[in-house]
Amino acid sequence: MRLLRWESWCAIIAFLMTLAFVLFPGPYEMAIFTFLAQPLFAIAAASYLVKVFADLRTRKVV
Amino acid sequence: MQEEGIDSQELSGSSEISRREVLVTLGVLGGAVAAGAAGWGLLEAMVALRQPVESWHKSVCRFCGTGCGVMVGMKDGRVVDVRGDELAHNKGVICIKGSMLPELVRIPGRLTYPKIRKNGSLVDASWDEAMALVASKFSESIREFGPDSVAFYGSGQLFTEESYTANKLFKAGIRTNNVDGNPRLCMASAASGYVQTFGKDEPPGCYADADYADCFFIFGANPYECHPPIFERIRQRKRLRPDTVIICVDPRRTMTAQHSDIHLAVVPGTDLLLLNSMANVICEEGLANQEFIGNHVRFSDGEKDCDFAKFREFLRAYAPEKVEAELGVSARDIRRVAFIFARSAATMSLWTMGANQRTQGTFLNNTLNSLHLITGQICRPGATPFSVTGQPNACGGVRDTGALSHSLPNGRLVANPEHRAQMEKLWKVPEGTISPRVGYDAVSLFRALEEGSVKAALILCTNPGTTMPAAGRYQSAMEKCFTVVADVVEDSETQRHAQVVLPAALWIEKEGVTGQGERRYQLTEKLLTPPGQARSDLQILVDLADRLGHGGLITARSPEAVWDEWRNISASSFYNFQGITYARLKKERGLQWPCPTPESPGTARRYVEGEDPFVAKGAGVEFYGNHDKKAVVYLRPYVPSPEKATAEFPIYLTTGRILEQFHTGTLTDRIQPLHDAGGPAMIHINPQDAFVLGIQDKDAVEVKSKYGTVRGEAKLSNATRVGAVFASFYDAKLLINRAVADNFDPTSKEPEYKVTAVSVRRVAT
Amino acid sequence: MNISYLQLVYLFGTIFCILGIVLCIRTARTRFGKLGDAPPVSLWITRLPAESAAKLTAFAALILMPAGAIFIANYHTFEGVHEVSGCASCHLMLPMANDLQDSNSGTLAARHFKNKWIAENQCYHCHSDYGFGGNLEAKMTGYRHLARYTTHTYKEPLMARVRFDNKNCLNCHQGTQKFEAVPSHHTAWARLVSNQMICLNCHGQAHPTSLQRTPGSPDYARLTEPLE
Repeated sequence: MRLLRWESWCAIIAFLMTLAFVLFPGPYEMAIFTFLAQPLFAIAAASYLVKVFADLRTRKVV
Repeated sequence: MQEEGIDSQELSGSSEISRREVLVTLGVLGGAVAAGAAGWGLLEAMVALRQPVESWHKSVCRFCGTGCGVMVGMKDGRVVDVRGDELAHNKGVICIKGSMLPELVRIPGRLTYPKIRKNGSLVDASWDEAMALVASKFSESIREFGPDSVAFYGSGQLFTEESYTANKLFKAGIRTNNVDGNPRLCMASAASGYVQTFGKDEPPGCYADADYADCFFIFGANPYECHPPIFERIRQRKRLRPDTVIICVDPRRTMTAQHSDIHLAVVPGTDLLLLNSMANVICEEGLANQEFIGNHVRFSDGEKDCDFAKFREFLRAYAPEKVEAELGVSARDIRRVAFIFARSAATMSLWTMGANQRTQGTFLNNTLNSLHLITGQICRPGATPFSVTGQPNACGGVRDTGALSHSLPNGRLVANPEHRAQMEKLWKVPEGTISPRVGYDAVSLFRALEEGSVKAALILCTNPGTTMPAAGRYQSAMEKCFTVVADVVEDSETQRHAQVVLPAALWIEKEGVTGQGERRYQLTEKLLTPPGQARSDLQILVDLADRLGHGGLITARSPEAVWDEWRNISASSFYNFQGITYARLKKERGLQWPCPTPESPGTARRYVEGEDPFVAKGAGVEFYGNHDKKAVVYLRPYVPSPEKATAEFPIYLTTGRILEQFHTGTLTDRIQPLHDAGGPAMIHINPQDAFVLGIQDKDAVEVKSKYGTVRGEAKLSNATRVGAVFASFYDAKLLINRAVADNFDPTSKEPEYKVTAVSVRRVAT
Repeated sequence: MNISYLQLVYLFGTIFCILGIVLCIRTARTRFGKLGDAPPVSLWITRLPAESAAKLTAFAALILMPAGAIFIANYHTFEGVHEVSGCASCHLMLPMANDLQDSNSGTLAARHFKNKWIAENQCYHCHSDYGFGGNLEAKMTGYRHLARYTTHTYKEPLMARVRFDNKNCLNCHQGTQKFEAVPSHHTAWARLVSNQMICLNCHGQAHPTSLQRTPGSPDYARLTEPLE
């Protein structure tokens, strides 16, 4: 299964927002990065970690 | 890397899975937006919760006559911050005293109960008991000895509504003109000077003139320390226009002198020589503005009119070479300063007590005004003779309301039967109610207490026990009379000699209007409850009025009601401020009168067409206060102070204020940072004099004059002129006014604090 | 060669973002659990099983690269605020920026600029709380301003709500002869360092007044002209 589909897509969107801010700094780009990209990264990372943790449990590593 | 992990079939796989994943992604995006919004919300909440201030309120500083607008920050019913109001005339600048206003409302030693002196000590009493006693003593005295056996001694620190009510009660109710106050000790000469010159009191210009002046002539004033926001404005002008010249005339090398371009260290008491000499130079060197003089000026020798030629002839005796020896300033410097004064594009003079607290105070004020008139340095932005006011409400509260022994509201005079008739009509009292007898001015009042002709006196919001010249004499005088004192703190010098002491509300514990030095009326709103049983001075006066049977006269009983009555009365005069309603005062950062209608924006510069509503169209400049619409230049001869240095008293004593302390320190000395910054008051003496007298820094010294003796600690200071000593009067442990002479100006009756002949000697500790 | 922070940000920011995107695409297409048959992946000096390589890729894509990108972008934020042009990129700050450079203005900002008392990054020198080293309160305030500005939920004229940190003044002025000569600076020291008393009370306005910054006021048009 493609386990990390939406996490990856969200991260891609967040990377694009971040890249826009890095290359074209301005208040709107900064706001989008701060208030949208960062939560997106956080949610994607959190979901990824949950899935990793679940996987490790099934293998009785944790 | 190989890509077997990717199922190429799934790339073109069923749309159900793709759509689901897209929806999940969109959902997560939405979640991110929500998270971002939540984060923002958290930021808002945290910033809101960490607010040190809940609400900001527009107000006015309690201290000096600059009358700075301040913003008072409140939280949980307490004052937590005070800032300069950036939208007020002072543009957000206040001084260290104003910055300490949050501490002012917490000073220790507040009077919270009325007190009556029983068996030599003040004991707590109820309001009813205290006021019943006051009323009975006043009534008894009036009944037995007539209305002139009682008196009111007020203050330039009371609200206008309070001074107005006291004036009305005593003059139209009790029918005595024994109404005076501490403005007599500071601004009376300025008032008489303006009235004699322009026909009307109060400065014609405004603080904003400092933004346009090219020359500042600071005479007998130390604004760096005593009116800091005004001096900061002068410094701003100089920063933006470095060619601006600041001239300072002061026997001492004060902080103001140190920041000036030219400092003329005159011998104390001789400076009318300087002004007349400058006038001489102006007339002789063709620096006079003949066109302005021809259109707007009349000359007078004090008794009869004369002309420019006579004026010029009179001034010949004051040629620079003739006066330089006595004055202590070289002829060259006099000529230089006269030239700069006359030829600058705009010259603004500023003066305070150095000119006012003099036996020739009125003459000095006249001549300062005259210098502007003969050079045409007036009625233009930056060109104005500006008498700076000491107290926050000497102008609006006392001068404008006529709460002095010779005056009636809005520039009227007790001695003028027409004026009395006008006020009787306005106050709705029978013809003949107001006494034609001019009452006791401050010094005369305390002498009357001494000799027993005044038997009962009400003293509000001032500390004459410390501030009267020859203070020792007048402290004893207070004991001979039934003295009632209302104050905010316990244990002032004055209260030691009082029979009844009443607790008064302080600053934002009551509401009222103050009128500061540039004719601006501003409102202080009530934000706190007074502590204990303290009441506003207005409440005290209304209560007294009722008990004396004058409740029907004092119909206005709240600050707003009194204000409405007062502003409507002003409509029949050139001091018209009928347009300054309470509603406007609440909204605006004060308004400058004349302001006849609610639509008037107020008047920044008087006597100028387009700004002053009383100037006729086409007149340009018009001094409408005088019958011929001209200002008067007087021929004012120099008369040395009666206090001349002698062998027995070879040194001149002069007094003044310092930055961190206000007046007698009853308020500021109780605020720790101000107390510490000012330190104990000391006798400042020049090292040269100290060497001759064998005095070292910190030695105990005695200052002695014909009037009294004071002991204190010496401070050697190069700022003090050789042959002079200086002390400030904020420290209860150094009552310097005991040694100060009580000579006064014959016209203004203002005492001469600035010149007393003394001896100084070292004493054993 | 002087490499400015901006060039570093561009370089590393782009690298992290592009790399991150590439790795995310790979991660999105990876069928975990079905990689058992895939051949091992050679990574320069070592060979990894396909499953391990895919997991490492996912880790890099969703943790490492985002961390790097976030770090760079935040560094960009906290460094970007140093420059006057950074502050002036919000039009609401144009009055402050224009007034700063106005030689006829007597505000503290203008005087410090005109006299070259602050050589560069003038806004930041007095508002250094916004940078990396500043306090938390200022950062929160900064982000709040950003949110308000970009959503247009602000009201002009702007009025500061948070207390100004006097350390921004004291950092330069404390210890100088002029500063030490004033008695109140010592006796009221506790109030100054705890920000109970603001330096501006005695020393004047830092920026144009709220009246001048109100749309419609006579000065507003001049003050909001775009910076050159």
